[in-house]
Amino acid sequence: MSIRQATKAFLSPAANPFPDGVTVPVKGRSLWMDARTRFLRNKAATGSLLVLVLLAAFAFLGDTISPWDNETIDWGMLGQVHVVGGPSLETGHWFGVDETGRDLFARTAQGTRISLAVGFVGAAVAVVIGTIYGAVSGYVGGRVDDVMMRIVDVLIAVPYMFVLILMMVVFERSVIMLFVGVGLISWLDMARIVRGQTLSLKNREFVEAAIATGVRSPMIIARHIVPNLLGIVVVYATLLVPQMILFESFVSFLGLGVQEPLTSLGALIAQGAGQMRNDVPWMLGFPLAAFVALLFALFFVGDGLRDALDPKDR
Amino acid sequence: MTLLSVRDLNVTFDVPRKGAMPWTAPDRLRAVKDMSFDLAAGETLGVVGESGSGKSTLARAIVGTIPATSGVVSWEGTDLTALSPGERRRHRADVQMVFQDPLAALNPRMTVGDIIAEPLRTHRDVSRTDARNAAQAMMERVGLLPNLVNRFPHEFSGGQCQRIGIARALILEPRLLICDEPVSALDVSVQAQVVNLLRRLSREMGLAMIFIAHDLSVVRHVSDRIMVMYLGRQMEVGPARAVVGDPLHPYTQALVASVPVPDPTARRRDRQAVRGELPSPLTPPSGCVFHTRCPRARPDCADAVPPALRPQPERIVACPYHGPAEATAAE
Ligand SMILES: Nc1ncnc2c1ncn2[C@@H]1O[C@H](COP(=O)(O)OP(=O)(O)O)[C@@H](O)[C@H]1O
Ligand SMILES: [Mg+2]
Repeated sequence: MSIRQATKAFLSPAANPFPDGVTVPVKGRSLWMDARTRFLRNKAATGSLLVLVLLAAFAFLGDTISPWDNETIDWGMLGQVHVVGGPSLETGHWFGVDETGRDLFARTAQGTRISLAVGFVGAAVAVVIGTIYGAVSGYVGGRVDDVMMRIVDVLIAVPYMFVLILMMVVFERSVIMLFVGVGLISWLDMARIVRGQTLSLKNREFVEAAIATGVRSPMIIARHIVPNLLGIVVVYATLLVPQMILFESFVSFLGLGVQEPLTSLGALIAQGAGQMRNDVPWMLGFPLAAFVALLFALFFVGDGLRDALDPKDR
Repeated sequence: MTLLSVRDLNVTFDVPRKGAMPWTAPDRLRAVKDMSFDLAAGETLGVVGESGSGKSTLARAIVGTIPATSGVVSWEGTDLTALSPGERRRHRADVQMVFQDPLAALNPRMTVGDIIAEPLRTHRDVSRTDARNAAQAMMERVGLLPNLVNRFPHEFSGGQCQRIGIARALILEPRLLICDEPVSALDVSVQAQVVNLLRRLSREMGLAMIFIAHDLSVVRHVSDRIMVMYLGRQMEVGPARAVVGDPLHPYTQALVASVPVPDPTARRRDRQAVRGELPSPLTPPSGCVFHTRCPRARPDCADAVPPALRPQPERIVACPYHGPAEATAAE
């Protein structure tokens, strides 16, 4: 850099707060970084994130650390589960066994895994389909918007629980079916939320600037609309995960969700609840504790994300 | 040589009536009415009018972000309003715009380098590195340190954001720059810097400019010609010196009188441009739209729309009772 340039840079009213780094590009602080700082300052949210990580570790590594797997029946327990089947370190059944003598620690890990999977599949479908659908509908506007949103209205009006139960009865009751069902309904609200946000983003001056420059519509959606929507999408998606988990648990509780030998937290809770009178409280207690911890952690994380990404402070 | 020629431009918005049934016809808001003017290459046209007089709408109709209801916007003889969206897009490189709110005009999720390079990457087939280098060169030209390319808009002050907006508008080397109140949102101390930057760059690059403002104080320093607007209509057009030094239209005279005078011995001027409220653009006054606030209004002003008169070469005044400012003061 020449002396003249350096002098100009120094005298410029845009003078850099770090004049010694004139030639090295300075790293900027994106809004995402600011949001991360704010999130990490929120104790409840970071604590819940830790709980969530531990639960995920439990779900995916639980099988490997437990001496028992989730299918083997401990024949020695059968018939006297309520006497010797409780949680104990000696038998290696840390959470006890279920009524057929299977290790409840491994079963709870498996159930948590399925519940998490259902939640995240639902959220992923919502994020991908809901965001694109809502952004296109809102940005294009006019007739297209009318038609696209009426379709969503119609789908929302369908009693999906009823349809899902019918689907479960007609087709094979499989996890895939459950994923399909969850995926079908989860994106609808997301599409509406994203459309509303897009409508307000569309009138912002930076979008007008892009249109005036001649940027094509798909590029405007990808570069200017969607990145500015991601905050609300992330928040809504994290709050959608527990909703989907609750939904799956309800279906499984009715006995229509995942089928043996697979299980989910909802199915385990249903079984535990059925054994209440047999003096085996651990069968309900452990799955329920995992379930409650999971939901609370997800809600707190979602809340923390909402505070951190709050679009109001921009 | 005429670069841009606007003829009988009208922009009408449909405004839904409050509390009305969906099938009743919407109100029609004529934001720009029968506007005609020419702009030569390298010339700067100042556009002045109170807020709500349709200046931004005029700018948007020329840039093409809102459709013209009727009329012709021709660019070197091609009618832009008749082009297909694809053909129109190719012309967009020639006309760029600088916006009123500097921060709102920048995408908060993009780095400054990407923002400035976006027009280049849209219209020219350039690599990422070339685009970045061009952006840095442009930043230097508008008085920003080129090492700030990776920063985000919210890390800059208002004046710096406006420089970023100017860099983005000029990176394609357009031939016409439309500045919609580029300094209204800035601190007074920064306004002069940004205006001088625009003046210098337009001279260096041979740019034509349409410079919009709501008062004359800024416009008269940058403009070759000045156009005064009121409620979407053209009130007066003429060379900048003549319009400011010898305003003929009563509305222009009121605007000139309201410009603060730096001379302390001069008598205090009333800061409000014109007495009374701006009428609703939905129900504009009949005849001459200014007659409700005009100090020289006569009964027949409410009857007919005044024709555009040419009392002097190069000057247009839409008032049959126009005259030197002293006449108003005497009344
Ligand atoms: N998109 C729109 N829809 C309806 N009315 C509008 C729209 N844009 C501007 N207007 C109206 O047009 C008139 C002129 O607005 P504008 O061009 O922004 O004025 P200025 O820039 O001179 O302040 C105002 O009355 C405004 O309310
Ligand atoms: Mg405006």
